[in-house]
Amino acid sequence: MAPNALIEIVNVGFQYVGAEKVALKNISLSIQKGEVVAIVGHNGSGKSTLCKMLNALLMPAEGTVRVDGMDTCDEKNLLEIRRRVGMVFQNPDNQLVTTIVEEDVGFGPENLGVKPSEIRVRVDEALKEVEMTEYAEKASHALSGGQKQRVAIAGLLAMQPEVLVLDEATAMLDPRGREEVLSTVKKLNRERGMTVVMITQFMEEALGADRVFVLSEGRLVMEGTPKEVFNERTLLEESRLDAPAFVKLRDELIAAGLPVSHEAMTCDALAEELGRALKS
Amino acid sequence: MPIIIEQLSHTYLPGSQLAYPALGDVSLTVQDGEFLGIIGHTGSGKSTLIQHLNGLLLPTAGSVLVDGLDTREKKLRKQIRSLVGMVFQYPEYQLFEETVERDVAFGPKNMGLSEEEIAPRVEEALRLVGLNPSEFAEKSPFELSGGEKRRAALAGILAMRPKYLVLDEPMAGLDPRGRREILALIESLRSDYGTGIVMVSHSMDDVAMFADRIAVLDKGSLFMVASPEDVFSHSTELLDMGLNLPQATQLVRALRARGIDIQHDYFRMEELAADLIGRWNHDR
Amino acid sequence: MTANISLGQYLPGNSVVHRLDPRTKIFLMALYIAIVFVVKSLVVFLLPVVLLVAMFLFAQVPASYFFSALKPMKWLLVFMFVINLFATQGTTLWIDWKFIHITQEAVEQAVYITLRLVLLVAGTSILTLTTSPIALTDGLEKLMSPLRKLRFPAHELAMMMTIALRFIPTLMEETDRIQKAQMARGADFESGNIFQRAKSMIPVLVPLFVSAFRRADELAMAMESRCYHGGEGRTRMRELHFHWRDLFATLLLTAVLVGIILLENLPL
Repeated sequence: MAPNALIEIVNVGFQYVGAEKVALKNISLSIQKGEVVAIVGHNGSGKSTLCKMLNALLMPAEGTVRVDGMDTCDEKNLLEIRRRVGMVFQNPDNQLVTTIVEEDVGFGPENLGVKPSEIRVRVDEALKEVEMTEYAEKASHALSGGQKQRVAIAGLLAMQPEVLVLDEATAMLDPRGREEVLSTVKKLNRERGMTVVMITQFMEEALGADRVFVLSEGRLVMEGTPKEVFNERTLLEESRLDAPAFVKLRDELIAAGLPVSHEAMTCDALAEELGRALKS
Repeated sequence: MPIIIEQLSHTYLPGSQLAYPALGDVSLTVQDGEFLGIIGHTGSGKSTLIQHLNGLLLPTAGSVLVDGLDTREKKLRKQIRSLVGMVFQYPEYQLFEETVERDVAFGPKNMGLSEEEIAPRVEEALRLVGLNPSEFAEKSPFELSGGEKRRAALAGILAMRPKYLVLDEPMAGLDPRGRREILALIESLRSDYGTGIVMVSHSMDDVAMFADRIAVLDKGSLFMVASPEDVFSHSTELLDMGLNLPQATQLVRALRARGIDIQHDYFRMEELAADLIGRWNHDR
Repeated sequence: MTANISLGQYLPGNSVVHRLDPRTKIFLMALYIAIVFVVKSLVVFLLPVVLLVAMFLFAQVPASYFFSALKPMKWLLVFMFVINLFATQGTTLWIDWKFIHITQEAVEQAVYITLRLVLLVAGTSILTLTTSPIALTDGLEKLMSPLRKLRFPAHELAMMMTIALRFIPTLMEETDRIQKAQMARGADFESGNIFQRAKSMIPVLVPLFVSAFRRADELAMAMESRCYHGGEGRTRMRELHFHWRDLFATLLLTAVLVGIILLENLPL
């Protein structure tokens, strides 16, 4: 096992009961401590299935998944794995359990049997981290989508995880909510060294990752830095994925002869390059 | 005839302690066959506004006339709702019938049409949304995939052959390919059948693609309604309102900030690309 | 935009009643109900009335809540009063006009029954006004927990109540959305007889049920991901503790109950 690997996935295969196709075939990848990793893929590519293996919601039919050395198939590891790998789901409503925000944030520690006074401390800290302290005593159903997801994140932070997994957690949010969630997660990675795994179909979200894994039809077809992955245009197309709009523009400009670097992937980077190219 | 919104105001729970003024004095006309985009920050009144278009909500002040019919007239409501088809967010959550065919037939049935009139409409609607009738008509809606469910829900509205189609975030939750397909479908309804489209969206790029005009709502009032070019040239105001800009507009701003003089307020990437390439070739 | 409906209308506050342990309040309600049923004579009836007023005062609940608690019942109260006025047999005739015979016993019966209803409804509303739904479920769970030895699923029931309470507003919003979507397709929920109207609810109820099941599935997954594994080994952030005020209130109401029983049964 690689020295810093927090999560190791080796030759994992899976098929849902009664399904025609195999959901996952021969997936091997490892996630290092402190990394921000994006797992992208079209609908049905297996990314959701793979995601659920990270915290033992699903067990691989073939191969192994290890979290911090612990095999997810071993029942006695279950609670510890789920404590360390916190998962945020897509539907903001369907992961809030109780009526009041701070009660919900305390749900995880309560399950772990943490001392009541300690739970209080953790809840207050977690709410502060996600900037939802003023909402502590408010009703959970009345929050916006972005706020609900942040409360969900706080609920995970209160369990003191090592990895935060976002299972398309921004898919149902408006742009503001998406921004809130992504900046919260990036902050946690930056300031706390939290390992982050983002499952997404929005290429723009993968831009901020350290590494990107591309799934297609249940297989791992590509892995690399965002730059490397987005340069493989044909492979992306075959995987039914869209490169980010600015990357597509950049490639069009390069093909037309403009001296724009292959490194540019964002609006500002592209503007920089074009500024140099067009003013000279 | 157009949909005429005249000084429309709407307050929720008027007269109570919880009274909330969602819309204030909005006047707007939706022309026959036009593609009108509606944008605005969350809470700006977009959802409230569109619910007035088919009489689901009634004005606290002002009026809404659909083809000359006043939404406040209870007797006219049935007619209005067959003229203005409405597709809510995540419409797949409204499917309920035993088969796709029967669910799609629900709207036409409520309109009082006969079996003979309904059957061809159902078939036509399913074909329009890309669901092969022979394959999908007899299936249970709950067997379908997410994308298929959404199409089935859309077919349910199209079977009513509305003159106007109002859609609230029709692409929400779809993958990039799904987004493109639904958007193309909506535009084809307009170009092939002359259906007027009113589309609420948070995705500026989607709105920018096909809209003839865009209405911008801000805190319950109409900030402006104009061509996309006009609207997106007000980029500073839009950003202040908490709205995004189309990606091309973002790049234009960034380039101008670096001293590149882009004359046009491009909001479509292809046009901006052509400009930049042309500029480069010209300089050689 | 749905109106904020909180079940039982919890009114946040810091009165002494608010601060009582929810278990105490549940028990006090039981005592109060017993009191309301034990009183028989007019003079003794004053005691629960005074008690009710005292509860409202100590809980710092405005009198308007008294009336709003009774509002949904107003026709029932009138009905009960009138029925008992005419249906009760008695000996001392007060009104004897044409076919209307009203006796003293009938008047007493009508007044007492109506008064009991009023006292019951208004009094028990104090429980829900001063106790948040979570505190209530916590209290109930604690009270039921000894039954776990008998395999009674106290924790599971409490969890069910908590989740149900949490989802009521969400489900109401969803019902509203679905209704609107079906109305946009021409559905009519208002016209027709009772059978037609019941049938018209199918396009709302089916999607709602399907959605509820899906929610339950997703919620279960989220709960498991947060290490939920039943009530075993679970702690609570908010712990319930008894204070002197709980003891005092319990003793007070017990004394009132005993006093009333004595007053009603000793020859005076």
